[in-house]
Amino acid sequence: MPCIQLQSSDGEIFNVEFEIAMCSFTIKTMMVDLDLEDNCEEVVPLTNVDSNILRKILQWANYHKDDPEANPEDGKPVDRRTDNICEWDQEFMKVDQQTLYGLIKAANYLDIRGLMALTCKTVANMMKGKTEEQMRKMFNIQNDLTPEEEQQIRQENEWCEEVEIVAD
Amino acid sequence: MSIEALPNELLVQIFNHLSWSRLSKKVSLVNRRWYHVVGMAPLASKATLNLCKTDRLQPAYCGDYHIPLEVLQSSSREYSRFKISMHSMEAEQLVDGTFGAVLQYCHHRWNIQNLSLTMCYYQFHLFLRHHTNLLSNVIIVKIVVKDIPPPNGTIRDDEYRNAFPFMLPMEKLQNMDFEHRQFSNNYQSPPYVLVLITPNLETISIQRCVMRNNVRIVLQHCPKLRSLFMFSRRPLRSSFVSDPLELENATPQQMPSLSRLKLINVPLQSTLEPMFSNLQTIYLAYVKINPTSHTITCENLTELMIDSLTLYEPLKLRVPQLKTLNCDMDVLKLLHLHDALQTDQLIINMRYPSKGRPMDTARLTGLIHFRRLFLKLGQCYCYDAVWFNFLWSNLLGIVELRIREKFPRDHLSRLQDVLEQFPQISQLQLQGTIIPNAFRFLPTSVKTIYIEDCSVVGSSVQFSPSVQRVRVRKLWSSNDLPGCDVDGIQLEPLGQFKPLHSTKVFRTNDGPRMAYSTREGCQSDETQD
Repeated sequence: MPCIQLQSSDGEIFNVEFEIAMCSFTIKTMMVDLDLEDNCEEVVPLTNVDSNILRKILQWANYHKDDPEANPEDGKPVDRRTDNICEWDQEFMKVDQQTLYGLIKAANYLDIRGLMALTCKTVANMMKGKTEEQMRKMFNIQNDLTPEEEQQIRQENEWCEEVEIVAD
Repeated sequence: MSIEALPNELLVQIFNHLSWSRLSKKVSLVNRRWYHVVGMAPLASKATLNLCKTDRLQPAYCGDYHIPLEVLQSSSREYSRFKISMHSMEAEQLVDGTFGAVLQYCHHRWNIQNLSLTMCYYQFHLFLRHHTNLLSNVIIVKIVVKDIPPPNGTIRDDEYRNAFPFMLPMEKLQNMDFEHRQFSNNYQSPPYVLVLITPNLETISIQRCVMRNNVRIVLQHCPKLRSLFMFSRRPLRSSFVSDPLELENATPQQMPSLSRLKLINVPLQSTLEPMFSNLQTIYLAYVKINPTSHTITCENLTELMIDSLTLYEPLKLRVPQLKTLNCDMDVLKLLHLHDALQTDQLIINMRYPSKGRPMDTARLTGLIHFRRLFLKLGQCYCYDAVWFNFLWSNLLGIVELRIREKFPRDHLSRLQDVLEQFPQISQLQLQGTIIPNAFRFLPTSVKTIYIEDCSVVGSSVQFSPSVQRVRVRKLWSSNDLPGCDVDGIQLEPLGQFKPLHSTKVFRTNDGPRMAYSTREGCQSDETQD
C-alpha cells in the first residue's frame, strides 16, 4: 500500500496510507501541484496542525476512507441537519472543547468536508436548546452587549421571518 | 483554545446548522461578535425582512404598520430577502410618508435580491411609480396584486388609464411569480398591461383572474425566457377572455424561445407554431386551442402532457423526439402525431364519459411505436368497448403494461377485456387495484408480473405456467378482515412460486391488517419503512 509522510506542526512524522491522506483536498492538491504522487519519501509539512489533532484526524479518516466522496457540485442541497451523526462519529466527537475547535480549524485547513460537517454539527448541537446565558457559560464568553443593544436586537427580530425550516 | 479563537467564516459554518429563529433570538444575543456573525450575508439569507406586518392583536384597520426606520438604521445584518405585504396603507404614506422613506432606505442600504410584494392594485400602481428602483437588483420576485378598492373613495378611471402600461425594467430578474387575485364581483380594478423588460428572465409563472381578464403580460425583452407557467383560478368562458400574452404582435426578436410551457385554464388563441417550435415540455390542461390546419413541427419536444382540452379540429404535431405522451382518453381522438419514432411511454388517464366525440377524427398510427402503456382507470365510468378496442389494436409496440386503480364498474371483467387485447406484452404491472384469483387468460408472452398494493378475494392466485417471475408487494386479502383467519396467500402453480408471507401488520380503515409480499417485496418494504 503506497504511503505518504505527513509532518505535524510540532515535528512528528506520520506514515499515512495514500488513500487515507487523500480525504484531504488540500493534501490532494499539494500532491498534484508538487508532483509528489510517485515520491513516497517526500515529507509533507502541515504547519497548522499539531500531532494530537493530526492523530485524531487520521483516526477519523481511516474509519471513513470508504465513504463516497462528497461532490459539492452534484446539486444536492447543503446538509444542515444535525441529527444524522452516526454512532461511531458521536463517540469520536466526545472530546474536550479545545480539541473540538482544533479539529474544526484543521478540517477547514485540510479541506476535509466530512469532518468539517461533523465538527460543525457537533458544536451546533451544543448550542441547541440553550439560552444565550447558558451558551455564554458553556463557551466561556463575556457579554459585551449593552441592555439597549439587546433591546434593539430583540426589536429587529420582530420583523424577521424564517425562510426555511431547519431541524432545530 | 476557545470558540472565540475561531474566525468568523468558521462560526458561519457552525451557525449554518441552526434555524434563523435560534440564530436571531438566542445566538445573536450572546455577544456583539456573534450578533455580527449572524448578520453576515450567508446566514442573513435565511431570513426575510418583512417591512409590513399585521399585528392581529390590534383592532381592525389599526393593525397595519411598517417597520420603524430606526430599527433598520441600527441593524448590521446583511439582508437580501424582503417582503412587503401592505394592507390598508394610505397612498400618502406609501409615496412620501414614513413608509416611503423605509423603502428607499432599504434600497440604498441593502442589495434586494429576493422580493415578495403583496398589495392592492392602487398600491401597486403607486409602488411602480415611486419605488421602481427597489426592483433594480431583484433576481427573484413574487408579486400578488389584490383587487381591493382604495380605503377612501374610488379609483378614477382616467387617473389610472394614463399610467398604462406598467413597465417592469428588471435587468437582473431571473424568476418571476405574478398573481392577480380577485375577491368579488363588486369591485374591479382597471385592466392593465405589464411590460417585462427583463433580459435575464428565465422562468415566469402567472396566475391570472380570468373572470375579468384584467392583466396582460407583454414580453418586451425576455430573450432568456425558457419556462412559462400560466394558470387561471376559474375555468374559461372564452367569450370574454383574450390571450394573456401579447404574442400575436410580437416581433421575432421579442418571441421567447421557450423550452417548457405549462398552461392551465388559459386560452391559447395566438398562432401556435412560434410557441411550440422549440419546446421540450408542454403541459396543457383545460386549454382552448385553435390549431392550425397544417402539421406543426415540434422538433425538440420530448414530453407532452395534455388533459381536458377544448379542441374542435385535430391538433397535428410532428414530434420526432417525443418520448412521453400523457393525456386523457378523449384527446387521443383529435391528436394526430407524425414522425413519432422515438416514443416510449404512453400514459392515459381513462377519464370518461367522452364529450361525445366521434371516432372518425382519430388517427392512431402515430401511437404505434410506444413501448410502455400506463392506464389510470379510476374515472373510467363509461366503458366504450368499440373505441377502446380500436385504440388498443393500434398500440402494437406495447411490451410493458401498467395498470393503476380499478374500473368503477365491472372491474374484473373489464380488466380481463383489456389484458386480452395485448397479446404481445412481456411485463405486466398492477397497482392499487383488485386482481382476479386466476390469471390463466393472460397471453403466454407475459413473463414478469409486478403486483403492488392490490387486493384479492381468497387466499390463492393462479398464473399460467409461462409466467416466470412474480413480485408482490403488499397484497391485501379480502379474507383477512378482523375475525377471519388467513395463514398466507399461495401463488400457483404450486412449486413454481413460494407462498407469500407477511411480516408486518398495517393500520387501515378496516383495522389492523396483514399485507402479503414475496420475500423480495418484503425486503423493499423494510427498506422503505
